Amino acid sequence: MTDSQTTTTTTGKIESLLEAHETLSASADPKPEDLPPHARVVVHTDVPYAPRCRFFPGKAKEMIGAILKEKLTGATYDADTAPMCVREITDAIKAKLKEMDLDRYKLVVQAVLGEQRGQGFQMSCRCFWDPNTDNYAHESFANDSIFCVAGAFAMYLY
Amino acid sequence: MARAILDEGVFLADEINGIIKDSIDEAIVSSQFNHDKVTHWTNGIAEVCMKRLTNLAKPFKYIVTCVIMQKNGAGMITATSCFWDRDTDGSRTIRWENKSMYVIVTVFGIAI
Repeated sequence: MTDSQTTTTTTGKIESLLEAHETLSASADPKPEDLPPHARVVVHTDVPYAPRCRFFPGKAKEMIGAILKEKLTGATYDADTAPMCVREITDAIKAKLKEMDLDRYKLVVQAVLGEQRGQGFQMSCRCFWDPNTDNYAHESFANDSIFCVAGAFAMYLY
Repeated sequence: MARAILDEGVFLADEINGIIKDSIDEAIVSSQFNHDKVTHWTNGIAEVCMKRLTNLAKPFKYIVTCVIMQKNGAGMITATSCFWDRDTDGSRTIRWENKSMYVIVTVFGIAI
């Protein structure tokens, strides 16, 4: 008789404990705002690893065109100064891209500067990357003496 | 083995010299510059190069650019400027020429 009594009391205790636990966990459903910053978990379900800011090819194209115009308008081809000139162009484009607030983007800028003598010229590129985040822009410039093609590629680092 | 693991995520420029050269040789063989074929050549070289690079199955994003210019005494300069992780990423440029044209192929490998 005594034995059975003790058992009922213990089971009763467990039940009440479980109830208490349930109500506690229900009432203390943690909201992200209430948690300290380090404990907040934000789950992105729509686009995983989405970049905060994107590379806009239109803007970049305009910027590249402006730099090419500024550096090359009225210029003539000179074999001695051309290497310096093309390096300045690529560095200027890269510097401008860095100003465009491209957080976590890796940048590649390539420019080709050549002498205009009526020769045939063809350039093409292939990219193997994530089309959701990565993109490129290119622009060309030509006058009577020189031609220049510059391309900028931006790749997101996850 | 340890070295293989270390090299897994690093762009080894010397490894792809052969890939680039083979792609150019196969596309052009011993042809002379031809306006009608040059678009086909640049696209072909870039595509074949890319196919072989992806077959290496390394964790990289790749950019392949191919330039073909007819030879007539005109000068040409190309330059690149990059913002990336110097330890893992890299590029390789191969210049190839025959009697009538220059071919310049540049491969960039960017670690994911």
